[in-house]
Amino acid sequence: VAELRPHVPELRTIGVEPYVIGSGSPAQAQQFQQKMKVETLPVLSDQRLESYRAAGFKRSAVATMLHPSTWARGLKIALKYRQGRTLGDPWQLGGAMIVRPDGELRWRFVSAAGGHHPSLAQLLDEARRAVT
Amino acid sequence: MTRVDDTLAMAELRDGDGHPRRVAELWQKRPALLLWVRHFG
Repeated sequence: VAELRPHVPELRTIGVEPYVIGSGSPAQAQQFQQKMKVETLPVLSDQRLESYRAAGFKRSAVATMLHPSTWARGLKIALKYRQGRTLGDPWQLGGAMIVRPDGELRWRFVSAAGGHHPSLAQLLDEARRAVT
Repeated sequence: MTRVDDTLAMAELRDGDGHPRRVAELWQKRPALLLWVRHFG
């Protein structure tokens, strides 16, 4: 999210609206928004994990905490950003999607382990492709 | 064309004020990039 922040205006210019969804409470979503300085980026809460399940995202202690890549990627992120305590379901992994107004799923990414996420370049490329 | 599953479209989220929002509302007006994060940390 921190990496995406400077590109939010660009996404809107090309016609794609970005949203962040997390498993913490609405109050924690607001705190996250303030902490990440993304007040203009809507941050939504899904404490029941309804959307995570429906999207097919994994929930696993092994993939989130014990997977070797979690530690490697976690360390890389920690060197760049100050991560706070976990607010939300600690075993839930995330993902990403781009969906068009007619409900067409243009792109989907499923995180396989903690710290596994699409690159910023990939996000921007997929966003551009979704509007062409 | 792959369509989003109805269960996902109808899943309920809450905004920062606690107001409910269906996932499908997010892409109603324009294409949406949805990022599900592991946690708010």
